[in-house]
Amino acid sequence: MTAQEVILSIEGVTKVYGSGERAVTALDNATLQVRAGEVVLVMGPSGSGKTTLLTIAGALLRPTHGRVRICGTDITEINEGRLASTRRDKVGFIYQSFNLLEALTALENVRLVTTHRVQNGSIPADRAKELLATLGLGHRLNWLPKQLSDGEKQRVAIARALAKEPALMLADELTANLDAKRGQEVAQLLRQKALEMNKAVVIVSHDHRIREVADRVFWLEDGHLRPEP
Amino acid sequence: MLLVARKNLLTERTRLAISVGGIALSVFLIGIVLALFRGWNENVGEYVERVPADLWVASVGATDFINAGSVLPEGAGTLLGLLPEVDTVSPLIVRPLALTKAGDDPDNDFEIQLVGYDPAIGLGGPLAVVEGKSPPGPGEVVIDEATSDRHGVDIGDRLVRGAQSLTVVGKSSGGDFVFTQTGFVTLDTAVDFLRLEPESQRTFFLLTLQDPTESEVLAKRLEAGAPDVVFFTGEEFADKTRDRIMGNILPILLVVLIVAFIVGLTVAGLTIYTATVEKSREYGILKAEGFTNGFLYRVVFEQSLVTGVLGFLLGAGATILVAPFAQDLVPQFVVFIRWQDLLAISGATLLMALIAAFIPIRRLAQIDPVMVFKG
Repeated sequence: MTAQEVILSIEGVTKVYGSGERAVTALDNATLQVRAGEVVLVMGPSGSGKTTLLTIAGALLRPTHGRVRICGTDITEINEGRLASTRRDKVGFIYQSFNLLEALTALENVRLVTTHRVQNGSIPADRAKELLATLGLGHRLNWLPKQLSDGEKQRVAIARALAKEPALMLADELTANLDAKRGQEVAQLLRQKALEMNKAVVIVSHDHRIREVADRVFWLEDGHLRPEP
Repeated sequence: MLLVARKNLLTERTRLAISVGGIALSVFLIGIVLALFRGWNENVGEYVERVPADLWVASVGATDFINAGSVLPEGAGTLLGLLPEVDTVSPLIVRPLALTKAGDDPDNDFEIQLVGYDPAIGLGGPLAVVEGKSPPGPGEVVIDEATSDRHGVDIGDRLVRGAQSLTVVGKSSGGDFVFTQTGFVTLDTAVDFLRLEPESQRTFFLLTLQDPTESEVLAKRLEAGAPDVVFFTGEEFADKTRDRIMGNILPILLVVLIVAFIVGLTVAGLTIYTATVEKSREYGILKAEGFTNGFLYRVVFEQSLVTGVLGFLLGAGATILVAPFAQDLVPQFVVFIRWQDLLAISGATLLMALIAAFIPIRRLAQIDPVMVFKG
C-alpha cells in the first residue's frame, strides 16, 4: 500500500430518510476521497449529517444515490454478508461512547474484534498487549471498562480499531466525552498511530480544538459537504 | 466456547443463577415425577409378574389383580387340573379389605389386598419373607414390609375387622401396590375371615404348565371352550394390573411433567431474552464490527446451552440426592431412577435450551448496528 492510494472514495452520495413529505435529506451529493496515511476531519453542527456520512463510509448504511468504495470495492453493490466482511476486515471504528463490551477486559476487547476475520485471522495476545502498551495501557490489560477512566476507554477503543489492521479508521466525536487535555492527547495519539501504520482516517467532530491533527478539514451543514480552505 | 458468551454468563451471575435455578427446578420436577412413575410402575406389577404362574384364570369381567371381582367355583380348578398340559393348579382368594391395628382408632384404618393361598402348593404366596415366619398358620397373616413401614404394624400385632382379627406373624417383600399391599393368609383363614362359602368362592386359579411356551395357545383354546372364564399370561396380567393403577395416575403425572417443562422453558427463555435485550447495544457493536447474525446466534445459543447443562447437572443431582430421602420420609413416594430417564431429561433440557435461544433470534436479527453511533 502506498501513501497515495485512495482508501475511501465517496462520489455524489445522497442519503434520504423517509419518503414523500416526510423525506429528510441527510446527505446531499457529498463527495470525498481519503488516502492512506491521511487524516480528514469533517466538522459541522449537530444534525448536519456527520454520523450519516460516517455510517455510509463505514459500510453500515447504504446511500440513496451515489457510490462508495472502500479499498476499491464498491460497497453500494454488495450484499449484507460482504458488507459485514468489509467492516470486519477493512474498517476500524472509534465511537463517541467508546462502545467497549462491558464483560470483557481491555485486552479481550482488543482481541475480540479480530476473531473470525477472513483475512489475517485473530491477532496474538502479545500483539494486542503491545498495541495497548503503545497507547499507555500496559498496566490496564486486564481491567474491565467500568474500572477505566474515559480517556483510557477511548484509548482502548483506538487500540481495538488498530488491532484489526484496517485500511480505514472512522472516528465519531472522538473527544466528546473527554476533557480538553485528554481530548487533545487522544486526537494526537490517533494521528500518530494512523501515520505510523499508514491508515486513512476520517474523524467527524464539532470540536474545533482538534483541527490541528487533520491534514484536511471539511465542513458539513444541512447535508452539504465542502472543503474548508 | 465463545469468549463473549462465557463472559456474559459469568459477569451476570445473578441472572445466571436464576436461569440455572429455573432449569434445575424443572429438571428436578421432571426427574422426580419420572422416578415416581418408574417406582410405582415397578412396584404395582411386581407381585403379579414374579408369581411363577404361567396362566392366571379368572371369571369373565375380571381385568386385573386389583380389580379382583372374579368368582370361580373350586370345581373349575379340579377340571383344569385334569388337563394334560397343566402341571399345577393353585387357587387364590383375593379381596381388598380395610383393617385396623388392634388398639388404634377405628378411623385409622388402611387397605390391604388379602390373598388366601394354599401353602401346600405355595404358588401365589409371599414372594420373599424378610422377617418372621411363613407360611402363616390359621388366623395368621404375613403382611408386606411396606404395610409395616406405612402403618406401624409389626409382628405380633393384630389386624382387626369387626369382631375378627388376624395376627401378624411375618413380613414379606414385593407385594406393594403403593396404595395397598398384599397380606397373605391360608385359604381356610381367608374363607373364615371373609365368611365365604368353603368350596365355591375362589378368585383366581394359578396354573403352571408342562410347557410354559404353550401358555398363549392354551389360553386361547380354553377361552374358546369356556366363555365365562378368562385366561391371562403372567406378563399380560401384570401389565393389566399396572394399567389399572398407572392409567389413573399417568394423566396427572403427564400434566406435572408438562408444567415442569414449561416452568424451565419460561425461566430460561425469559432470562435469555432479557439478557439479549439488555445487551442489544453490545450485539449492535459486534454487528458494526462485522460480526454476522450467525455469530450472534451462536453467542446466545452457547449461553443458553451452558445454562441448560448447568441446570441439568444441578437438577439431576438434586433428584438423585433428594429422592431416597423423600422415600424415607413418605413411604408412598416410591422412586426408581433409571439412567435412560436421565438421558431423556437431558434431551428435554437441550430442547429447553434450544427453544430459549430461539426466542431472541428475531430480536437479534433486527438490531441495527447504526444504533451504536447514537450516544
